Amino acid sequence: MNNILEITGLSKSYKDFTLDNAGFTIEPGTVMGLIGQNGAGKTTIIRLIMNMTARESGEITVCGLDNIRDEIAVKNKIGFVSDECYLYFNTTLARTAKACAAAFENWDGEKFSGLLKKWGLSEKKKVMTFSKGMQTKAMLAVALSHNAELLILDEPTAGLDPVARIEVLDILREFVSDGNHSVLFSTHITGDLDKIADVITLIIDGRIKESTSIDMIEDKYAVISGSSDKLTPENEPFTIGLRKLSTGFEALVKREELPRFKGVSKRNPNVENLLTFSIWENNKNKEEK
Amino acid sequence: MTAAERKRALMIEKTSRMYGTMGSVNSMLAILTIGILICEVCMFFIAAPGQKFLAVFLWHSLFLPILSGLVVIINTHPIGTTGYVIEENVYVSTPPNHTERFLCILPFEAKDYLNLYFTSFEKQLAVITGSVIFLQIAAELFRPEDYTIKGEYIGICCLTSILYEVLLMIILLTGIRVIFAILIIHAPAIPLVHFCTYVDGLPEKSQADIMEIFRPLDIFSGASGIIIMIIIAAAMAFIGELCLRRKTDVSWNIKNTT
Repeated sequence: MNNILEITGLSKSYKDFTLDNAGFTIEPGTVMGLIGQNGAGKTTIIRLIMNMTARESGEITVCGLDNIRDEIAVKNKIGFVSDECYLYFNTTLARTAKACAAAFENWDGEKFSGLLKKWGLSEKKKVMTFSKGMQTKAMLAVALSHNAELLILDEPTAGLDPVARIEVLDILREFVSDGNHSVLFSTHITGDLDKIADVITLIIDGRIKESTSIDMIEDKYAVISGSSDKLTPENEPFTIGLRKLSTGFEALVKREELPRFKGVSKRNPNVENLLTFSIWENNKNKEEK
Repeated sequence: MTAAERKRALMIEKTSRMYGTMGSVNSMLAILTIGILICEVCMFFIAAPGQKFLAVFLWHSLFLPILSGLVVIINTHPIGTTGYVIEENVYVSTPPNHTERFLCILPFEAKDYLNLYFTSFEKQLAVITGSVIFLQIAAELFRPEDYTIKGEYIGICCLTSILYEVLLMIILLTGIRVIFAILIIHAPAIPLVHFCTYVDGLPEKSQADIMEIFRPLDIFSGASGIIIMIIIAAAMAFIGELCLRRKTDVSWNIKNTT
């Protein structure tokens, strides 16, 4: 079976930022979390997949189809939820459904109406009257109502209350449960990814640092902490994102380097640890340069 | 544009219309065309014969095609005009590029949107060309007895319309934003109208001397003018199609507003 999404050698430059040779793949039945600091390039990657902006080099294929040459077929396969509402504010969801029905090959109007009813969204009210959370749900209803194979979500849970966030995560879990659909989920709320993601792709300053399964993160890394005397000039270079605290130190290390650190406590890292320690390490390297 | 590409471009228009952001380009053009033709006919019967007629004549002949072009451009490229809704209780106005954002998530190609621009340009080209040709014919058929419409005046009108058609195509293919397009189009119009009004106010002999300079433009009036307009319009449509065909790997170019 084809990968749902394949990105290779993707590059795009702006005045103050460059996405450099990005690449990763998403297999069917997978939820991939795309994490990185603000301005790392997460939204740029998503915009390039959606052809919202032109890429300078690289390839993007969705279910084996090129995202530009086969744009129509690709857009039929993608359900998209943006951090910014793309629904026109001065129109109703009923009208939106009409526009979608005319455009999508496999538009399911009944499913759309059902989702709106389930989430308490009126088809007759204008989008401008909806809260941010309701607008996100409206976009999600559009995304889920045309038999898409890949859901792309750019910060979908930001601005949602805890109940709504859990509901969205449940929907995503159900979406991939048949093993044929996948989700690409860009977010700062790493706690959501701990609950739902199978694979994490970490991007820092326009470069992909890591693209690995959640289980592999725990197999590959550990978070260590200890008193300052446990940190020596010999083992310090093997830390990632070292933080020196008043009580000692804390750092991420590769498990194969653990024997260098005697008498420290260890724990499994979560997604937030991978993100934060990697960002600190990157900042430290930038300062040293 | 192939038939399939043209069909998809018109599908975008239909989708946007359903979505409420775009009036029908065809109905707008039809209304404007009728308006232009009525104005042109009325000018021959209602406007006072004599010199003052000319400034009004040229003003309408130039202004209305510009208006039709602008309306078409604005309707197919909704920046600000259809995108901004600011009401008291609304906390944020609709962001720019809004219609493109929605169209981008639908199964259309970015090139379809570009093609839609071009179909609208082709229609607008037909309106301008048709209105000037109508002017040519009406000038021959309906001229008042005590007034002579010189070929040079019609020639200026015809040539200026051609200039506007070329400008509009350049604007379309280079993607200049609407606000700049409006400025570019108006730039030659205003001094030209002032010139016409100035000439109108001169004694007849002085007018004749000035218009002698424009005598070569006589070629743009009458049957030769009609043929030239049709050839140029067809050439511009052809060149535009060639330029469109060369554009590949088009993206929606939607600005990131976050």
